[in-house]
Amino acid sequence: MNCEQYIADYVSADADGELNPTERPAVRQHLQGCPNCSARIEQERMLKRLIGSRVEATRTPPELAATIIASIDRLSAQASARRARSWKPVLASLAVAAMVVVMLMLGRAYRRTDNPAFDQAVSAFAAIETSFTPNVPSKSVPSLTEHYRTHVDFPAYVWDFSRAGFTLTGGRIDHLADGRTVTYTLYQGSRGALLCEHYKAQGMSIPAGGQEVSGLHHVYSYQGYTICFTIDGDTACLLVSRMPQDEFCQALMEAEGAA
Amino acid sequence: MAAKRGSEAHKRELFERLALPHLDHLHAAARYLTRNPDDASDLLQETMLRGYRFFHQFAPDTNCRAWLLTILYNTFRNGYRRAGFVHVSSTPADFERAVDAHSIAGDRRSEDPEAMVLDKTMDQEVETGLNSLPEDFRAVLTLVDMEELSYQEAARVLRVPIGTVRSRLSRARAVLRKTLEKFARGQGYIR
Repeated sequence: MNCEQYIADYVSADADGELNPTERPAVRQHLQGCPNCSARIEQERMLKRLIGSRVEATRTPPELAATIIASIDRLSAQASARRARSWKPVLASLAVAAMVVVMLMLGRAYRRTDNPAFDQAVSAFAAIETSFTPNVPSKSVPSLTEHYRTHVDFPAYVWDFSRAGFTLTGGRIDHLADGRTVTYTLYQGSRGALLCEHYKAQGMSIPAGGQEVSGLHHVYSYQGYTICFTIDGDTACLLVSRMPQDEFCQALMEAEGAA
Repeated sequence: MAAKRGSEAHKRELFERLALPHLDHLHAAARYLTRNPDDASDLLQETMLRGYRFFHQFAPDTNCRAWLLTILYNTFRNGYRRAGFVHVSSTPADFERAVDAHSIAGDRRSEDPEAMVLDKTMDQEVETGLNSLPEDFRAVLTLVDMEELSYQEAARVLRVPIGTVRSRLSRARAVLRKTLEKFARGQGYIR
């Protein structure tokens, strides 16, 4: 390795500590015998520090920080108020699923405005509607199916909604707040977005009041969204869309027909 | 532990502990992305609110700053580009050519460490220099040198391969050095 090579291809990554293990021996060897390049990497580090020092120089103006914190407090208060309106007994540290099961066991009327699993699905949908970052390198139903099969430890069925006018956008393997692996598969069409999520169900039950489709799926209207909830073995599948319930059921049946 | 797991108060507490400490870094990133204090302010607010709303999707043992930066760059790409706000006046290649054209031809002193001393007195020049860079170059320097992300994390935020982050950084720093050198010569810092 000569100086020109070191400067052109390695000094930058070296200063960042991001050389590949295979590159390191040759680089070390060159630097050991080359004071110019040793000084050159010091220069690179100095430049990094100068750029880094811009953060200190552009601190958040106090009024802006205060505004941001106030908005978050407002969001937080709104969310707390929504939860406080619920009649359900307060159960500390129970999993989402356990809450649903306990409520059903108590035989109380199940209020559809308070389902934590549905809340999570709706939040995820809203987030993904805004911005979706797929992390699965597949865009077709078969390749996505195969990828999920080899990367997650529960069956994540990939729907084919093409007959209903939805194109598969992509898939994402992520985690729920409690650490459980979840797959998000996004479809898009003229009727908007359609999100499918799968995760291990851990003892969930089907909430009452849903519309049964094909003896397998249960469709609900929830906070302005339509949710289809299916339990297959110990895997939960949730489909979320803004389509009205009847349109959604239609799309489900069209998709089933394609299978 | 004051607040119940899964409760709103717990989420608020967690956000304050994990996310809010990165506010200054996020602010810097917003400033260098938008290059305009008002837009930066809007972008930062939007980002932090989204971060809070979707905080349940954040895995607490991972890099919160990287997660927030992903939201920031996504928000910037989706919202601000649609409004036609961002205008990249030149490609990184064009910019490099322009800088090269103004450099003293055949002068190898720019590779000689003794030729230019970078130090704190170049604050303003670094600021100007950074803002004059095309967005691609500015972004990698921001994410790696200001935000202290790894190449892998920066690659995820920018949605490019790691190799691209590495080569862009190398070029971005080279271009910035040349730009700073021009300033330095102009100021008589270098003889």
